[in-house]
Amino acid sequence: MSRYFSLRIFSLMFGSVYTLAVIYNWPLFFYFPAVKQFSLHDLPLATFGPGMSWFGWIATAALAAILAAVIFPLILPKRWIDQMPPRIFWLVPLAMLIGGFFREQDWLLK
Amino acid sequence: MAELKKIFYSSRGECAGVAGDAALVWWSQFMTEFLLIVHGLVAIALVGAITHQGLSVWRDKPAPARLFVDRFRAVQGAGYANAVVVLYLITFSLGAYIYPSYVMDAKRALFELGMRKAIFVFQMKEHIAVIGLGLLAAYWYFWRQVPLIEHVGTRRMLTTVLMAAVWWNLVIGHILNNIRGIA
Repeated sequence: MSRYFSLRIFSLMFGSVYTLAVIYNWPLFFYFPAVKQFSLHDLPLATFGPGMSWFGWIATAALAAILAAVIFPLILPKRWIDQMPPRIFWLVPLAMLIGGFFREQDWLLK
Repeated sequence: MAELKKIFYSSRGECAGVAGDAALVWWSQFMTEFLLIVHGLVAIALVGAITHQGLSVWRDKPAPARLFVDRFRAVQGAGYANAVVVLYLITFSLGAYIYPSYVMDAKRALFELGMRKAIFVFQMKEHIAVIGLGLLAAYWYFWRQVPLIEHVGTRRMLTTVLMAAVWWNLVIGHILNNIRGIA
């Protein structure tokens, strides 16, 4: 498993890319629940109702994380991955929490 | 605007709108409520498993378990890892499936009632759920691929963060469903 797919890199990349996707609004796609449609672009509110980015942010993060978890073990020396400091896993949930707060702060402030 | 309102109301079955005929709307609403209940039940199983493991991982050395709390955490933590991953994925998937119904129904009602803090709390719940989702891979790795005498601190941190995320989401989900559920 670890030779072809690094679970630790997956977690790190998923968290990091999700944080960036939330802050900079990079959804891979949008979902419009009123009309039950997916779209690669944001569509007019008056016609399609509100769009949801959440699924798209997860897809962006998952895609980047899967690619990194497959490619990095192939191109990086194994000892680099093995010596990855475990403390770095503290930063990922913290960054994701800050990213989420950054995105949603308008609900508190306005 | 009228068209938009029609689309919004379609999710509650108050107006068939573009969602289809009345039977389809009823079935959709029934399934949403059913899946919401299953989502809650699986989440309770998940809370039980991750709390057992989360408390056991902070136990320094085996000692006679005399008190209830000691007996509660006197478990083999590693044995819970697979169950936690599976239960988390099921809970997350069910929550994600019914999430659009929440957006169309409960969130809209909360918005109209001016309950912006409640909306904020639920929006954070979705991000915290994704935090847990992302950590699952590393969590499983450190429980199942690494000898238990190594990386004890990392295992404690990952399990504790996951436990906190699960508890937060269960409590907040329950409170918000009491404020304005989708059922």
